Amino acid sequence: MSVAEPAIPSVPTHREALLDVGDLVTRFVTATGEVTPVDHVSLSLNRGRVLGIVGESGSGKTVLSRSIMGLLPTRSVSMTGSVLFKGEELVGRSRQDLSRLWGDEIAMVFQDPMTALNPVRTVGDQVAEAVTQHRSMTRRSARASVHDLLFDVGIPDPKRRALQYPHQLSGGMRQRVVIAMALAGRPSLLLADEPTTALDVTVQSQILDLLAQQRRLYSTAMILVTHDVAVAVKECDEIAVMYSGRIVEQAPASTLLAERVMPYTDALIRSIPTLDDVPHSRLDAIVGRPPGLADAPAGCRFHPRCCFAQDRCRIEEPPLAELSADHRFRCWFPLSANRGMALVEPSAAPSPLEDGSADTSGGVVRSAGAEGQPVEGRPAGEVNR
Amino acid sequence: MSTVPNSAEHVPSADVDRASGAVVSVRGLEQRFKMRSGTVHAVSQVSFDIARRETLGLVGESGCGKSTTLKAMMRLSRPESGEVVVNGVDWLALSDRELRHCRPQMQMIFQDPIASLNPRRSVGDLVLEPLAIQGRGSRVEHRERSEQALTAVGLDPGDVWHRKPHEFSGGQCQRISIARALVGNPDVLLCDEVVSALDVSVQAQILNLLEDLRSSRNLTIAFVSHDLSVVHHVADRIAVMYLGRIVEIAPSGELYWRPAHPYTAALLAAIPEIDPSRRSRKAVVVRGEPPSPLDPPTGCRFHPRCPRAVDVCSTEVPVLQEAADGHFVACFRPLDDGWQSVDIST
Repeated sequence: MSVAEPAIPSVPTHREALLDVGDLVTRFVTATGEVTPVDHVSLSLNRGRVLGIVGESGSGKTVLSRSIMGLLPTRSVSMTGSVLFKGEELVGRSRQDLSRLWGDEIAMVFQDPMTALNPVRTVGDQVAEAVTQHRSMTRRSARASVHDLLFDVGIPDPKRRALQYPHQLSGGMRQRVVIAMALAGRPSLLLADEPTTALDVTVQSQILDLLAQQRRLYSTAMILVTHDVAVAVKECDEIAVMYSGRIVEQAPASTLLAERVMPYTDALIRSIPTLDDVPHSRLDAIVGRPPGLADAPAGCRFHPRCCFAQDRCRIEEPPLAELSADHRFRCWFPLSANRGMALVEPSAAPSPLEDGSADTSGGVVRSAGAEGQPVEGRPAGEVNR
Repeated sequence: MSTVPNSAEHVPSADVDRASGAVVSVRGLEQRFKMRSGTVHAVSQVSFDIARRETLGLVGESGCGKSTTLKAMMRLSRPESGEVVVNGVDWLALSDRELRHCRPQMQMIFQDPIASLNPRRSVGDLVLEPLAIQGRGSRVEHRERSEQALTAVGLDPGDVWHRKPHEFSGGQCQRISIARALVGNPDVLLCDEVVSALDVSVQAQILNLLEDLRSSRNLTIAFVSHDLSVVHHVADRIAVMYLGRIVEIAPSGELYWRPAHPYTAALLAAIPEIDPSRRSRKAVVVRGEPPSPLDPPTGCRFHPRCPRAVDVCSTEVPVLQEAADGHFVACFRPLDDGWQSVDIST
């Protein structure tokens, strides 16, 4: 289904690019056939920069980050394309070969700190392992650097904490330990996969602040995988929105909100409740739900849920087009920069049901998609608004 | 959309006090759990009213007792003391038999839509079950009302009736759960993190659905969520809980723009705002995480983390007092002027 695309010349391949992912495709072979959770993804990241990968569940954002790191099982997974890290090709390298980079050059912070830590070993032991992995040192100096690392990530009384087991620590403390381990080798790239999703909101902001502070200190580049657009906008320099294995829009975080042109990005942002909403008001919901890996629709992957979908969208997948040097999108009928105004009038859309509730910013996702059956049933009268 | 007649066939004993407005009235609710290592004070002296058609939001960090409050109200646990008055009847004083009669008036929806549906039963069975347990009406009537409930939540009864929960997505399962809760025509709906397990785009659909049902069926709702933006979106009033106690309760707008409790301010300041221009609030940083409810701090339970704490905070328990019209706060040193008086940076 996925038509091979020519490598996009517009992807900036600066000499100083730390990471350069080109046309990466990750396929899983399953009992029921092949699925493609990452489909022709290209991106690049410079030293010290932060890239956010935003998407709903099943969009391929986690598989993408694991593909970059080479953490996927080699059996039943095939990868094509390239992952250039400091000019070195990582795709096709053996696990053993890659593990040389892990910790030292590329490190990962996972969503659930409890499963990322070994429950039967003390926290200090586990951090020490990360410290001594790539360099030989005496036990005493290892212990000292463990205490320093724990102190640096804001763990009070590190000497006592180092002797404790993960279950004796709170969720936030555990995530701090995981971050200490990830930063132990002073990696130049940190992959953070939903690092705060399992945490409470006050702890989330503490952990995000900690990551930002440590990153600045060692000018570590980071890829932040998250489902939370607000977190991405706040923490990242650049944001890539993923949908069904594809990057559908990519722009600097500072301009994505104001200049978004891909209807999915727009609909996603509009469906988030904000503090400006009046209680009991209706949200701009998107009809249906994200497609599963096995049933990705033909044409534009978003077309069954898009209110601007036309015949072309159902047949032909739009290429990644360029709005400006750093803003790319995948859509045949992008919204104009003055968001809310479609460049092309949606011809197939049925008459809007709740026209009285005119939206000042223009009803982008207001009228229901013309496409017959959304995957999820829609209650009568539930308009996209 | 709502085609189910609001037949309001209450149990005769229910002395419906429609005049007072409060459909649900919780007083001094206390829930403790004995553990080997001590007693968990999960819910301590929680009191609130919810008026007809009102939505009360309950927010707080994990372990603050918001879900436990709902479960205690439903009598899914056995609260130590307190009153839960629903339509004039104190549920905590009822025998199990009497309680079963009252159950249809107040229903609960849970966080995990897939786990809360029996995977071996068909959707039709699941939705019909509450009516079958009540035993009133004929089977034909039950079937009819179940189909109406499914239609009301946006599902096609003919299509889904014989299917099993695993064939549906999380959002659809949550619709089924809602149909199951609504089939008995409740007055009160308790929602426990009902959208937390859903994707943003699906979350918006379910929130819209709940909003439609609230207005078409005159539902009174208690809505628990850790997501403050979601709560702000649905609730008329919000109660903020910390370690088992309500520390502040106010109308939504008032709470968000003039928080009086330092904890509320910290909680609100931690919300990542999507619009950068809205991130003008002063940084309110609380250190650390909530302590264990096993051994809650003396005095105000927030005092070890509170940047404004003074001596009295560690010795005396502040009670909820009215700071402004309808705005109650339990604090010895409330923020008098909301964000304006936030002068704390560490």
